[in-house]
Amino acid sequence: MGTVKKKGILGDLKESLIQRLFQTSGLLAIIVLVGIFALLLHTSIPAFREVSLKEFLTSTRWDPTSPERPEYGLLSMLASTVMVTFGALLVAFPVGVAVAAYLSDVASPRVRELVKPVVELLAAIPSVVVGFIGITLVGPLIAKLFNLSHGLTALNGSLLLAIMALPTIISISEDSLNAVPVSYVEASLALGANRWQTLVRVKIPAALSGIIASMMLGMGRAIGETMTVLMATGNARAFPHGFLQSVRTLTANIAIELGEVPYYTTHYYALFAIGLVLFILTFFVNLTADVILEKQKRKLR
Amino acid sequence: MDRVFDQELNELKEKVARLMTLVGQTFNLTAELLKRQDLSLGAAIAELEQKSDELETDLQKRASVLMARHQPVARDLRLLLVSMNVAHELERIADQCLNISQRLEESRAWLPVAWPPEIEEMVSRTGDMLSSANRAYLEHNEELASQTIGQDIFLDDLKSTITNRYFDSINKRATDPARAVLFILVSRHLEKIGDLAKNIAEESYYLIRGEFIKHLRLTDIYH
Amino acid sequence: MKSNIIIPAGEIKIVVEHLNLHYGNKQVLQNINLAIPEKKVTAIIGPSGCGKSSFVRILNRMNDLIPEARVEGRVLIDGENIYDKDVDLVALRKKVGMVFQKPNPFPKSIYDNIAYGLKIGNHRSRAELEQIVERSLRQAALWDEVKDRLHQNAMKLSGGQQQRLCIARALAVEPEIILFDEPCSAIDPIATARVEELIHQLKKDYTVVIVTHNMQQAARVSDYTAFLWLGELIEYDRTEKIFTNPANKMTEDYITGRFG
Repeated sequence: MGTVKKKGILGDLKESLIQRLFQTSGLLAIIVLVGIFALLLHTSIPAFREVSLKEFLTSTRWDPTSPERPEYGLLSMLASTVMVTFGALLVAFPVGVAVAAYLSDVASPRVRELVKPVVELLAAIPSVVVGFIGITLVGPLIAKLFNLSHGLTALNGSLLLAIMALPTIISISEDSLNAVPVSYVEASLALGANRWQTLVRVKIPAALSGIIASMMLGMGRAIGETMTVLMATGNARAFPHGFLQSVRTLTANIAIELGEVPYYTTHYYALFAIGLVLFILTFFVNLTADVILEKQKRKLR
Repeated sequence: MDRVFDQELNELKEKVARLMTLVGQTFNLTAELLKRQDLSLGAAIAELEQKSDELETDLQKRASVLMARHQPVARDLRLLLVSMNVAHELERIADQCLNISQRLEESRAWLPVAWPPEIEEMVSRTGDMLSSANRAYLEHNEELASQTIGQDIFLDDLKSTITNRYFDSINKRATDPARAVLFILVSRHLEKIGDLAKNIAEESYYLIRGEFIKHLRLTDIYH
Repeated sequence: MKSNIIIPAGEIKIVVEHLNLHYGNKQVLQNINLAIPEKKVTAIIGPSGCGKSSFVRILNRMNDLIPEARVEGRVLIDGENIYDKDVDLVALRKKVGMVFQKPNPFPKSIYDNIAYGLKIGNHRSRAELEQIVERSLRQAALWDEVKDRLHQNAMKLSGGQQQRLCIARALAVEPEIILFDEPCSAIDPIATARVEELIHQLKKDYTVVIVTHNMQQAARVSDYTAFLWLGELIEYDRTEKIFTNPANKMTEDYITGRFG
């Protein structure tokens, strides 16, 4: 007969050791996150000795190197970021959900097994390469189509970011659609619904929070993306008035200017402040997505 | 919640009630036959007996189907078991009535001018016991059940009186032996009917209280 | 197979003829022949894996969802073979409703659950929808419990209520046949008793086929019982007969718990 008593003091020690190990590694992630936030905050604060927070957030002019009067307004770039991001989602979300629905409901298992890794591979393409495609393929195409001198526009950036957000949207949407219990589908079909009606009226509503979360995560990816937009959007500093203009996003601006800026100047600190804004933006987008996903899991349990 | 099973149990109970009516009629006819010594009633008694046989068979079949389909427990189970037993006792009462009618038929040559008063009293007591036992079952009346059980002892006494007296008279050749035997036999049949009525009362008691009181002495019940 | 009953032709709703069902290389049902009477409850009993669920899913072609399922033979409902090529699955499933093992309301309101089958079909007026929702809930003996919260999420109902909601949902599209696939296996005894009473009521208007692993349930609710074993129909007869004096020894061994 096996004993149920503990195996001496050593067993206890081992168990608590392992527990500590996991605790520490979990804690480490939080420490790193908090550390980054603290660093950003610490480095941004000096910027506001010379620039008012109001100017920083509401002025559309960014001209830190102006000899007469340097200006530090991020609104143009924030608007560009928002525009390019939403443009990307406008394309990626419907396409992504459609592909997810196709994979989960229409495709044969064989097709699914083929397409899914391909979609996931899309996420592995380096952003520089996507940027190349923007410069050499998508950009010229846009230029030709809209009769522009060049194609390095917000639209170009949106399309490329859409490609980059697609894998996230597809794979998380598809997971949510697959998490919809078979019993819902059976119930719907047994009531005389066809597959299309079942998808639209039962599966998608049931998976909706997951699908929305996939969009939020895609958005997080698009907001933070740097290299592609840097290469593909033309980087004009002006406030954007349309998708066919060149724009400069927050990320691109940091990438462009940080290499040349003298250290410990207001300009330098202001760039970190932009970083802080980006951090907060993506943090909240991702947090919202997580909360929504968690809710969905609980609902379908 | 209304159960379909309740409805089916009620139907079964109605069948028992119908059997009770049938057997009651048989008994009344038998009492009539004894009183008037009108042997022409024999045919009607035989017919009623046969009808109660058929109804009893039908009822037992129905009850076994209900057992198989509903796996009754607690009072549902008691009602089913008791109804089956009561039906069986009722059918045997009808048998006893037929027996009396046949005894009289066999004795048509030496039927008495009048019955001994004990037999007349037995007829009336048996009839009372039968109807109170039936009511105990139908109305779930515990009081009536115990009362009926208590009545049985008087029938036993009456039967003993008759038996002793007419054995004596046979020995003493005071009565026609054939007639004496008829009295003894009729008293036995009546006593048997009383016994069966008592059984119905005991079954009813079980139905109501869930306790078996068969084969207990009277003193066990009343103390 | 041993079918000892002859149901008059006018009272037959479903006829199954020489039915074979394969999942890939595995034969699940073997040469099933039986006639299911109209407006009666027919129970399918048998040990797990005997093919009883598969059998009932034949009757509304839910097996079509399984890619490797292959059906041979004929299933006639009102004389029409539902495995003919020109059968409209949507119409078939409206005619043959189904209630599943686990209560599976949609994560929508009570009202929307009932109205679902109606909304995907013909367009109906709001008043008409409301009327049908009420009627279906009343039929499923659920109206009094939910009439004040029709727009609450159906997932908030108890398991037993959810199952009655699923029954109401199936009734709303006015089927002629209702299939129950072990409808009480996930709910408590009181809720089970309610569903069983409901099935008794339903047979006044509908043909009911119920799969159950609980043979007492079959005994209680059904008029006819079929005993399946390893994909074969062993015995099919009136329920009274099956449970008091089955013709086949295997049936008797199974229902008396002597199996195996």
